[in-house]
Amino acid sequence: MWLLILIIYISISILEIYKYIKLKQIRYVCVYMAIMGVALVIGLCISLNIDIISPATIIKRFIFY
Amino acid sequence: MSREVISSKQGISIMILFIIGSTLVVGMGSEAKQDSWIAIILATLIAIPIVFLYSRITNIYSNKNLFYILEKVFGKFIGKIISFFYVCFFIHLGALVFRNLSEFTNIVIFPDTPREIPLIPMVILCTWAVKEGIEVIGRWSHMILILVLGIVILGTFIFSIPKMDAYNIFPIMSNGVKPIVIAAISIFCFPLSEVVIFTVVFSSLKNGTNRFKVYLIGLLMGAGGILISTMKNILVLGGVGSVNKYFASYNANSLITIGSAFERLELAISLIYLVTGFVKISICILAACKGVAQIFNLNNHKFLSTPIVILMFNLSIIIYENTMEMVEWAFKVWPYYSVIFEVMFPLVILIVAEFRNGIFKDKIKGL
Repeated sequence: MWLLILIIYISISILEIYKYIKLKQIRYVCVYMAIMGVALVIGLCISLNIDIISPATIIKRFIFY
Repeated sequence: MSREVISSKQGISIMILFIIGSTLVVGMGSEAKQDSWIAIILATLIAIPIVFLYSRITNIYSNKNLFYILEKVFGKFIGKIISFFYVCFFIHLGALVFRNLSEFTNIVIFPDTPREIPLIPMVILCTWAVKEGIEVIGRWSHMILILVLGIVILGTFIFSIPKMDAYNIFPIMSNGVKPIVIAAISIFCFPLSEVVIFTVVFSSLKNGTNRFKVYLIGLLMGAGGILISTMKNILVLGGVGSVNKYFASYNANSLITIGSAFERLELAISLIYLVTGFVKISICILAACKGVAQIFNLNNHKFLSTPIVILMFNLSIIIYENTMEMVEWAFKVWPYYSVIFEVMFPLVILIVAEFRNGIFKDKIKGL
């Protein structure tokens, strides 16, 4: 299911940034792709069952230990 | 981009729905048990000076959002770094609300469905709402507020009266003041001070609007809604009973029966949760989008809504292992973490902004 979700993400990204690529607004494309890239990496880790330390755990450890 | 404008009534409506947000379902003030209503009142009193702080910050630089103010106050470099932390905080907050929603639907509505599936319509709706802008969210909130406050919160309270036992609120303060103070701090951090996000959103308020009034009315009405709901839970389920349940409002409403015609009014709570959760997530996305746009000097923030909402959605899946961890985090960790963004940073921003704008400067010269 997660692979399907990832394919949908990539399709949406291409559709959305196409306008900005055509207008040659590279900064917009870079920012968009950077955020989407982080989202895709997390999505890929979920789909491949790779354990990631969640931000909540990091913050909890930082505060209490 | 043309400036979007919302009226003070719309601002208040958004704020009330935002405060009620996930709180109504997840519950709060568990440390105080049957005294949690006192903790809510205490937390509201503590929150009043804080909303004055937020309104003062936005009044100094009217029509500007928090991210612009940060750059003005601390300079470009430090301002952008603090802005980055705020963006992370708003994304994290949105992910937490997403997760609360998925836990709720997974436990009480669709136990066998993967928790990602019920979130997908919400993801699409929130993205759409942010792309339409704050004006649309404001108009929608103003329209839906009557349904949430009038029909659902007051309605379920009135219908619960036959199931209430007034002795459930006794003994008052049997465990002393300490649990009440701890619960009040917890409630202050979640959800009352989360309104720090409106230092970003209320840059869209009409010129000349009294921001403190909007903040104060929003805070008092939001806290009032939570108070009514919490009182109902305590009176129906009892102090310990309401603490032991993950979703106390849902369980309290499930006991309502009006003759044999109306039953299963817990659906009203699901409805509130969907509506208020939608507003809360949309505001988090909007604030994060505005922050990213300000950091990278982009004129258009709306196009960022899709990657940010997808990031929140993915983050919500990995953020907790289970419901117990979610509840533990909300009550034990969140207050320490959020106080940095909700109290410390705004306080520093206000002091530096007042210095920069000459208010303290004049006084020092006069000494």
